[in-house]
Amino acid sequence: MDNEADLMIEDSELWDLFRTGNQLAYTQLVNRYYKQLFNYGRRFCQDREFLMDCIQEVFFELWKRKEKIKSTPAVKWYLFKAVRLRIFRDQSKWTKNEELSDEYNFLVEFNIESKIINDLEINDLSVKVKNILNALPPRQQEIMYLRFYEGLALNQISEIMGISNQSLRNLLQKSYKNFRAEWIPLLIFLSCCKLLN
Amino acid sequence: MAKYDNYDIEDFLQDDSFIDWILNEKAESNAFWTTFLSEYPEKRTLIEKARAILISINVKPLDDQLSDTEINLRVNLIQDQAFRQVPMVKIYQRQWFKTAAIFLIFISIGFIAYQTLTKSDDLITKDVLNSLVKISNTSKKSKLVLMNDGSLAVLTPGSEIQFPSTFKGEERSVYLQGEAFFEVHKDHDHPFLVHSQNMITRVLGTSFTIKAFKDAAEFKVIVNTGKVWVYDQKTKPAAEKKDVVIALTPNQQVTYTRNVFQFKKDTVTHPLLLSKEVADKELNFANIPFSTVISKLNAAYGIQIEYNEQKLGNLRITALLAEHPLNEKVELICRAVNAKYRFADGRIIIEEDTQTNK
Repeated sequence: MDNEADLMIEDSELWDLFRTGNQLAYTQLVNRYYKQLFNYGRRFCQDREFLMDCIQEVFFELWKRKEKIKSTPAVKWYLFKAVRLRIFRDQSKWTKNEELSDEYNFLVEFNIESKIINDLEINDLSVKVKNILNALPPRQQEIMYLRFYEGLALNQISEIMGISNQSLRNLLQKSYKNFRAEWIPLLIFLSCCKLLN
Repeated sequence: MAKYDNYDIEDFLQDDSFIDWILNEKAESNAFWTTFLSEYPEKRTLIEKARAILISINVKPLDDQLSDTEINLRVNLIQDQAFRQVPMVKIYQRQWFKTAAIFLIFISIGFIAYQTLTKSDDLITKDVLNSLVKISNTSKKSKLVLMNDGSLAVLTPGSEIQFPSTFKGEERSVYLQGEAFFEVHKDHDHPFLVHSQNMITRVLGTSFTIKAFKDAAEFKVIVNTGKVWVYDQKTKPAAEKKDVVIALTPNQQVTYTRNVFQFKKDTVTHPLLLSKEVADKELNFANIPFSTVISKLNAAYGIQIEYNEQKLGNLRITALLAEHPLNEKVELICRAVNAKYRFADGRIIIEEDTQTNK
């Protein structure tokens, strides 16, 4: 979003301002993160309106409890975690009678911005990475989404998704195994091409 | 660092420290990788390739992306809920809230022969007048007037307003000669009445403007949003009596010609600056220079906010001001540039905040 560069205030600074009751800082935070939170939540929450209500609730709670909230350098992480939690908690309220399975969808299609890449070799590799990412099961895709697309740290991701660091690492290992399995043949192929050239 | 000896592209793509370095540009990982590159220059090509792949990873946009309008609407809702404790989302509550937006009322009053008549017309007793605060604007600039209920008026040159130092009783009555813009603090239990000559304008609490010169032949009342009731003081109606009370809705105006005691209602051709539709466009700012914000506010309210243009003018701010009353607008933009404001002698003065500069 274009507006994001406004004010050039760091998240954490904005956060501290908001904690003192500064309405503009609060509004700025909402503006800065609304779209990202929506884009994230939309991937496992099918109901738009419900999702937007969840995000609104999260922000409202923040404002209500602003005196009690601690300073944090990781505002984004805090918000992502809060919104995900809220969605799953409220969803379970509505779907009490339905089958509550542990399964969930994470709708995402990874893409490669080919504009950045002008090297053919790298382009091939990127496409491969993309295919691998898109073939992963939902939970691993969510990890990859948060890791590569949102740039969050591993310990933050495990907290957002409510899983232990160990299970996160296990899931990562699984994903990377796919990488390796797909990767080696590709690398061999590429080096063959090079030799031929 | 030894473990990186045998690294190939895909190993880098799985390396946490590497990913953090590329995606988050953290200072500590930066230092590490700079050192690494100087010690292993032969790895540079690999690293560049891994980097290119990493930053090229993107996500296809959603099919039902949020539009900017939707985001704005939602952000406004969140603001409503947080700052004004408006209960969550319900549509009717939102409408109710909007209704309490802005009234703009212009009243002009007759010239020449009616001056003497006017005096006898006035139902304001001396007793009432004596207990009132009287503010006249003899200057050439608009003057800001604050009332104890939180309401605010911008008094134009040559105008005069009287109001109790403390509002008591069921109604909040003020007396105006000339022209003023009002932003009335919302209080549904205490209607706000503007007595201008023999005409009364009644609102429940919102923001609106009044023009009421003693020397004009006509009143004009123009409403942007919400509802305003106007009636002739002589008829002394109960505010509910429909035939003598003119109710105005958005973008309507009423002209009252005094010598024929007649109201004429029609619609304004241009929405006024502080009407909802215009304010939404003109008074919500995203990354706009402070000086521009000030001039827009000045134009909307017909005031002149004083500030240090050299120091503050070029700072860019983002602020959604459309729905806030003037004092909150000023407060919000001041916070954005770490400044303070004060009302002094009918003026708004913005000064740098020397105390809180850390």
